[in-house]
Amino acid sequence: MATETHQLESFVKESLQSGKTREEIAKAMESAGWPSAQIASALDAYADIPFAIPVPKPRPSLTAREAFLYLVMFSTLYFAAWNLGNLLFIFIDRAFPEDDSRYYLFDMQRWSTAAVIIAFPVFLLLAGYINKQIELNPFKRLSPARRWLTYLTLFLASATLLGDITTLIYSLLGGDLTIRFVLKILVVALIAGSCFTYYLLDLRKEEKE
Amino acid sequence: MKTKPFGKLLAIAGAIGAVAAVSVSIYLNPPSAVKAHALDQRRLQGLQQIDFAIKNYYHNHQALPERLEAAGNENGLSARSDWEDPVTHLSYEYDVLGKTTYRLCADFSADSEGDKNPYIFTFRKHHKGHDCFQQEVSTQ
Repeated sequence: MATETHQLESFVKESLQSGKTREEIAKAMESAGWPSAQIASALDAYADIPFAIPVPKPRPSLTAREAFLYLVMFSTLYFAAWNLGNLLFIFIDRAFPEDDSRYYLFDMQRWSTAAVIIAFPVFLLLAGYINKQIELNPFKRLSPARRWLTYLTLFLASATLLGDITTLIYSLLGGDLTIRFVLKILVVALIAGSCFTYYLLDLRKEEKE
Repeated sequence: MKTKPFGKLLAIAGAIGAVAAVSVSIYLNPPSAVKAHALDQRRLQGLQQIDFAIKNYYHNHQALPERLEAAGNENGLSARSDWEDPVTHLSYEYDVLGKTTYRLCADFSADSEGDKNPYIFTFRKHHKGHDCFQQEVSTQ
């Protein structure tokens, strides 16, 4: 991502130096298949003033701010998803008690309840805020912090799904598949699967643009 | 599939799921029940310690202590706040019934219902209110 931007900017610089107009440069990049947001940003890197050499513009770096927003958003997502799953596991254990039922400290259910109450609304609010910002400024979609953390989330979700399915097959091969167990597999698949699907579609959309 | 309606749908479904899970959780373990359970756990731990101290006293003296304080002093535990009820701060009831049998009583906040706390070994089943446990020391 960083090298792409660099590459594009040096292309703009050289083109400007050789006397091409901004329109021509934009057209060239467009026919090469660059997304319009990236073209605009690369052109914007140099001031539109007459000077023998293209003059770079100062640019505010928003990377740290974005990283902060995305880190809070994704960590509240992980925290809420984990604790929601934990709560559902506890309900399943209560609905289908077994002799060797795990002993849950009362505190565990209480902690997960508190975590969902706090983390989930914070996640929804932040995700809504970020999506609104992207709608206003589609270029933000290309933020490296966003891409890295989205891919990290995809990785975590896919690792969870793979582990989930492996556990299912393992139990199937051992011949001890209980309702309780199948329900827990479904809970994990539902939570990890919806995170995975959403962020996969989100990245696809971005790569199309 | 477009991300936007899908994302909105997912957010609504997630919010409904989270609200439902939180409501069920609070319904299953309302704060008053959690508090009662915590108090009863403290009582059970106290009784368990007292029981241990009495048995230890018997082991050393070949007789049951007349009062709880004696058993406490024996084990250097008399100052422990666990030896009294966490709410009333009265010490638990202890009655000598025979040469080797005795009774421990406490006032519980709730019925014990299939508790599986692995740290409580004795007196697992109890009723709400005043409940006693008859104990016997092994003479071997």
